[in-house]
Amino acid sequence: MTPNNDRQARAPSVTRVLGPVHVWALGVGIVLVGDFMGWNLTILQGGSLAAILGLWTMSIMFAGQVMMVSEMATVMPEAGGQYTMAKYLLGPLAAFNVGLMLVLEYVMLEAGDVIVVGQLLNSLNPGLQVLPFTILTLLLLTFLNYRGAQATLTLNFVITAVAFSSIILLLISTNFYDPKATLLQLKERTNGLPYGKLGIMAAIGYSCWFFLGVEGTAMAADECRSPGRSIPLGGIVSLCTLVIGGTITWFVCSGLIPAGSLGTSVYPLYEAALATGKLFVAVALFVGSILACLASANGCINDASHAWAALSRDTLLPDVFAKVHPKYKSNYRAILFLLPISLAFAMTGLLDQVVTFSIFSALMVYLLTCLMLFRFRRMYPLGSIPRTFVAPLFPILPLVTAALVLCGLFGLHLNYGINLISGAVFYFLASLWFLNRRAKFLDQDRFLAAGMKAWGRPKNM
Amino acid sequence: MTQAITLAAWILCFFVGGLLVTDFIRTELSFKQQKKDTHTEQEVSGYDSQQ
Repeated sequence: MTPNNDRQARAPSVTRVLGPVHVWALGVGIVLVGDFMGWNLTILQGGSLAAILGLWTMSIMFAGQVMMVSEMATVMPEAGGQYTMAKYLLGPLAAFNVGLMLVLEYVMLEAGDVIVVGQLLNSLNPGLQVLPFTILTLLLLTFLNYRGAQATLTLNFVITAVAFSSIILLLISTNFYDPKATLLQLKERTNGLPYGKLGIMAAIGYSCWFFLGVEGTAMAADECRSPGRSIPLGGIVSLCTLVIGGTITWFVCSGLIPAGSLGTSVYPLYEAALATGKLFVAVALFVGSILACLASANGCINDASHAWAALSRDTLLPDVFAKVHPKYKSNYRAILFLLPISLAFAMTGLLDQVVTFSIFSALMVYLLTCLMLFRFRRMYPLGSIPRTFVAPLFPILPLVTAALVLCGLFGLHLNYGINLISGAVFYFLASLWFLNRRAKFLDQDRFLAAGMKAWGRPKNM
Repeated sequence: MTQAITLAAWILCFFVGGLLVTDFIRTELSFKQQKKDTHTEQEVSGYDSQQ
């Protein structure tokens, strides 16, 4: 997920050691938190059945995203995923917007994570104030990233494995395999489709939460032994894992918590664990939820600061944010600049608003990714440059994916129309600012030099 | 007890925040000093070449 187009990252010294397993760990590690919080808004928006239908529908959209990004990212001359793709395929204005969208997607997700950590601690003792713990979590993670996050990102994988195990433990503890002893009462506790077909549309938008960022596995292309094999394989297996994890989460939570309360829960899996009445399961899910949130927030701080610094390095933002800490080698100015923004959103405590803005930003990037594949195939048709992976079913794949993204945006607008308009106005104003204040500083030749060197001039442009 | 834990969390917030701000200011000052030194060196070398 790191739009890090740091030239050094492409230097020959980068070791190509990653295989499909590492790519899988990266994909699941960043996204798994979606099972612990936020996904249940789908039930609030469309009901129990809409939530599971939305989950499976959105998995198709993300499969398309993974394949499209895999084709483009594995040939890009710089690391950085969608930001780099936008830079070479759509130009500076789109690159600026994609970079900004990625930053806000991560900053909002980070705010959502720390809100949940605060709420979880508050659930232990209602007398505990949420605010100091929310701020403390954010400050501690910022501090870790400020001092260089490589070690903590490695630890993220272990944390994710523990968190995923806690979901499996919860499933087993419900005795789902024994119809007589099972704690799950799906018929009694689910509410079907209370808002009909429109409810499915509304749920589809929020179902992104189960997978948000999984296409970011392509960021590891630089460090893979065989990117053409590892990136698509690791990405698709990550997606399958998340579909299984999401389905288990829906199944267990819907069977243990009535749909009315599940839709508004801040920590649905933990509440499901409490509903089993088994202390060890509750403790495991409490720890799992906290760890998943911390791992995700940690990754988000790292990714958002990398994206912000990359925009600055490419002169799309003032260059002050590109400075690297002399001792810790972190993007320390970008990290500190983004801290108050995330803090401000976290302090509102409005999880649904934060989640909505994060999903909106991500969906906009996904839509542009579909456009980028069309542009990529037009600028560099098959056979004109060496590709290690080719997305199948072109142009059906990007068209179907774009249609599903539009369904998601339509679903979001049903209940959060004002938020979507505010988001669109924000990106429009940011674009105006860019055109008036930053575009003049841009050196187009230098901006596109690496792409021209790698592929030559585009054929059909 | 609850109040004490909350107070401890606030104190930790100020401590970690303080660490971040202190290191940031120190780093910025070191960059400023570096810039100043480079500028002085350039001036001296320019003066020498004129001589």
